[in-house]
Amino acid sequence: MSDGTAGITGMSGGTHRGVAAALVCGLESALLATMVAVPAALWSRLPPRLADHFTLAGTANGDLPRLVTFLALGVMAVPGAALFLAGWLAGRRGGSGGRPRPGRTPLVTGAGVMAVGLMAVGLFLTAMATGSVLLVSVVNLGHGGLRSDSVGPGAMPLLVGGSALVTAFAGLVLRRFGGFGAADGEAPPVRLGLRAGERAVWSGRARAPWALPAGTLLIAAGVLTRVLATPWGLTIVLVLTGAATFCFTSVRVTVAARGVSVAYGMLGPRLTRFRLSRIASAAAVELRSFSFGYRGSLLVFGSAAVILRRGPALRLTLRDGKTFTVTVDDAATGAALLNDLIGAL
Amino acid sequence: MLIRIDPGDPRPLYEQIELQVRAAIGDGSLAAGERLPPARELAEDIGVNVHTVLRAYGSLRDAGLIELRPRRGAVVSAASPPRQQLAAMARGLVERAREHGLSPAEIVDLIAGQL
Repeated sequence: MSDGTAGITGMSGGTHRGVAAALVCGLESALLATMVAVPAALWSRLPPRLADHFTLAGTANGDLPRLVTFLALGVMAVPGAALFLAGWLAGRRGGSGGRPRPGRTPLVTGAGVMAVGLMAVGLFLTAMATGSVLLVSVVNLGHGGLRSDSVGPGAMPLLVGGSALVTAFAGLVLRRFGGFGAADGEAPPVRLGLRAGERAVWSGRARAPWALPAGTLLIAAGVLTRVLATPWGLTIVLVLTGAATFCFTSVRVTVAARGVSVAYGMLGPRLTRFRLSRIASAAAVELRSFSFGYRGSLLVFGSAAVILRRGPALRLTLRDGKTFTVTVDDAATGAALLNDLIGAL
Repeated sequence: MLIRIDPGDPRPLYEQIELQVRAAIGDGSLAAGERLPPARELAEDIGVNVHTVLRAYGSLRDAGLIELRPRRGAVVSAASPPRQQLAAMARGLVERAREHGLSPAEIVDLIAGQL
């Protein structure tokens, strides 16, 4: 995807990506179809007013006319379907927002990740709406309106958990068939050109741009609570949150012969480490604002990332096909050194 | 910040480290308040004795470019004098020019051409 145009739907990504996209699109369509088909099929067996609102314990405490209930639940599915569609379109056109700038490596994973992220959120919301339709239909089936119906305390966790499972399934399908991973046709790894016997180490940093004002504000608010003589608990929470904001919103990445280590900036607890033998290649990529769809640290599902800001990032492609991306200044030098060190193994 | 150590280089190892830190401060890739890697860690990464790194750090401290603080380690000085920063940049430029085979006269001509 070095031309920055391929997406997750197989425009140049091969049959697998097309299959993955078709499967996930089919899932979204099936959820939407279920939302219409189930009420239509059960219409005559449902009472004119449906219990549609429940307490946390699962007891019905509100009802609405049948048509209004299903229309309201249908409207709930609109944002989900819209997000899914936006993600699908972003995936089709590559989602990276135009041509790569000269001299910069185009972002190859972010476009797919953003598309997949939008599709996943869309699927989750659609699954929630469809689950709600199913729940309301089943609970009201054969009853005469608002009564002491109970969906049980497990209904809400079941609804959320089921929707999450559907989303996770779609995520796995897209990941398995090329949603997140390294892209096709990548440029060959850039090297630093170490001479024989030469040793080198590189370290770079990145900080979330909002961290300094946010941390300062929180600590200042903590100090203010002492002036106002509010309870100590509030002061402690504000100051600790401020300190945590400083500590966990910057990273230091080190590339050396022993591997790549990523540590939190100020106090330096190590977040993760990769031995050289685990890494296949490294590249510097340019992240755009919404390339990843999230900011923070995610070290699960194989395609882990530590995203603190937009801009340069170091992306490792591991030998098992997984990737790791971390935002860091001067990532190009780190990637070039890393490729040299890997080549010397 | 990239630190490269070349055993084939006639300059002492501590000087190679010092020059590269100076260059990083000079070109702004190491900002005021930033911490340098702990001496022990850096020594291990580039395969030199920890005293070699400490000697380089000591030299940088004497030049006013870094501060050595207990527990916090080596930190780039908040107020590195502009002249020293320029000197560090000039030194980095000279090093690069030498690497590319330029003679002293050619380096002077190069700078004069920019005036």
